[in-house]
Amino acid sequence: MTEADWQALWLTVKLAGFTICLLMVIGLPLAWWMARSRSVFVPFVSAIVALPLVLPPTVLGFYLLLAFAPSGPIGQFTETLGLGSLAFSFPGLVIGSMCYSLPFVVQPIQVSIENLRSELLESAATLGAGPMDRLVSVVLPVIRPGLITAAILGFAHTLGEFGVVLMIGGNIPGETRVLSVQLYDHVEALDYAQAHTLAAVLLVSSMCLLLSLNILRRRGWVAGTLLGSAREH
Amino acid sequence: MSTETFSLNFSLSRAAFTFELNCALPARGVTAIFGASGAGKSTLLRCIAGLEPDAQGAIVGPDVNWRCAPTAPPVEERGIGYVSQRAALFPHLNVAQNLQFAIKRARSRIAFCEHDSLVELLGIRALLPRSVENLSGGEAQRVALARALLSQPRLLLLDEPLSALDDERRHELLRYLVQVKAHFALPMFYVSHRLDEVEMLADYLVELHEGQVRQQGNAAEVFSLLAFAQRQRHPSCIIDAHCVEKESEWGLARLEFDRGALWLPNSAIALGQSVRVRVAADDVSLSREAPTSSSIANRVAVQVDAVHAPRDQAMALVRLRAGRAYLLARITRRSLAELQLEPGQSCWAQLKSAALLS
Repeated sequence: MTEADWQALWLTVKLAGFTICLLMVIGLPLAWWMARSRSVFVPFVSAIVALPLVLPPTVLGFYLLLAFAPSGPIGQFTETLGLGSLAFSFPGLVIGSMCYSLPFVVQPIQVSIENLRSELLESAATLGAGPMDRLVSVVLPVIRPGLITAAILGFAHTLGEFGVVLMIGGNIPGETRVLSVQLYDHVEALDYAQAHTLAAVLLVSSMCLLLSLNILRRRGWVAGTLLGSAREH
Repeated sequence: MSTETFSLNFSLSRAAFTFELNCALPARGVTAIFGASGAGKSTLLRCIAGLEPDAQGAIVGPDVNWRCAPTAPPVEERGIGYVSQRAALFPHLNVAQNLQFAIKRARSRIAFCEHDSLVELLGIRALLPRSVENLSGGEAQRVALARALLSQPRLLLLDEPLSALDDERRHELLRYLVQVKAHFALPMFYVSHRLDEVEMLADYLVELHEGQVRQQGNAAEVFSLLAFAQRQRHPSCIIDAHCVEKESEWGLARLEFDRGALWLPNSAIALGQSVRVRVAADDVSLSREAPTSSSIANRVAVQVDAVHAPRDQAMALVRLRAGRAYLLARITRRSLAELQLEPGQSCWAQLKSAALLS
């Protein structure tokens, strides 16, 4: 692997890491709301969250690109803050990846929260546990399998992202040139030997992540199938 | 309101169900909340615990002043012990850790219940290292009961804790509940739709019907009320007595109550022990004169208190009074007419059998 390859690999891991950390923070309250709220907006929000599952990534990337442009809604906001445009930047990529991987994180968490018996929370309350205490000492440990599934799936899915990056990230070394783009470049240049190496790296790492998911599932540490749709227990 | 009672008033409206309750209940001993399913028994407990956000009202009593929203104290500040039909044990903790969960959060409360002796009392020492997922139903309920007690509650709410158990486990847990009642001076509200559980545990009885109180009073008194008894398939009454004499030659014990006494097989009774006895109305016969020679050993001088003899039925139900104790007799309407029994009249009740409850 060349230095550029290593740089792309590191960038990819960094992107997946940032994305998954932020997604877990957003995903937990969002999943809670979708699982427990009786609001009429839940079906709409669920549909929006699930959109990236069926939408071509390029479509998502295209709209994000428009939004990030100086005249777009997000672009105008970042311009007033003096941050410039998010398009073709690493923070922009993180936002794009978050949209792209959102369903893979939210769905497993949502399923575990739906399976969480409300009697558990009620008895925790009668035993003297306040809301934060209940979250930390009951909710999080009980839905832990869903959280681990969400983290692994979200991370693995972000590693392989291509379409969104191409649309909003372009191809800037060290900033937006992730592994899949680097691979694409090698193929364009007919450099198949290099392409083989990178493809193998992506294949093996994705395989390892999914394998670990399945091993953990057999031990009862994680929940669900690939899309987290299976019920716990 | 005196300090000896809880004064409750709650209301809650739902589709096809209105719950409107206003009553005073004793702040000690076991109060059974009895009624058919859908009568609002569990709803009442959930209102008290603060688990029904839409309820209006309050429960006020010694150490207790819990109003409903908007000034409601949150559930976790109420000091309520709550055990429901299915033990809600935390699946990520083992039995010992489930108990610790309660102990850790009970520090600010006055402790009356101590871990080691409670573990012995409920027979759960061997379960402590076990995972909660492979406990049997009865074991899980005992752990849930221990956990609730270790939170040092001011009031223990038991919502049909036996209903998910098979008959054998049910009786086993019932005996443990009797132990808990004897050990702790803790007011308990016990929801049940089964008369045998209520008979064994209750000091006080509230009958709910379609979200309202239908009958309430001392358990023994309510059981003997004709209005209550006539609705039961097997009407019976309970007598609280204590053992004053043991007859080893015949294996009998003499149990005395307010104005009478019964002889029962003495196997498990200790001298001086308080016991509760259940007498089925079908096992009581009446006579005007003192019966002289009969195989029935137990006879009590009573006074007819009230009679329920509907014209369209062959059987009549008679409420009898022996001092402060009550008995029920189910006899044919013809016998009733032949004996010419009227309220206020004295007669003799012969008890074919009586069951020891505790």
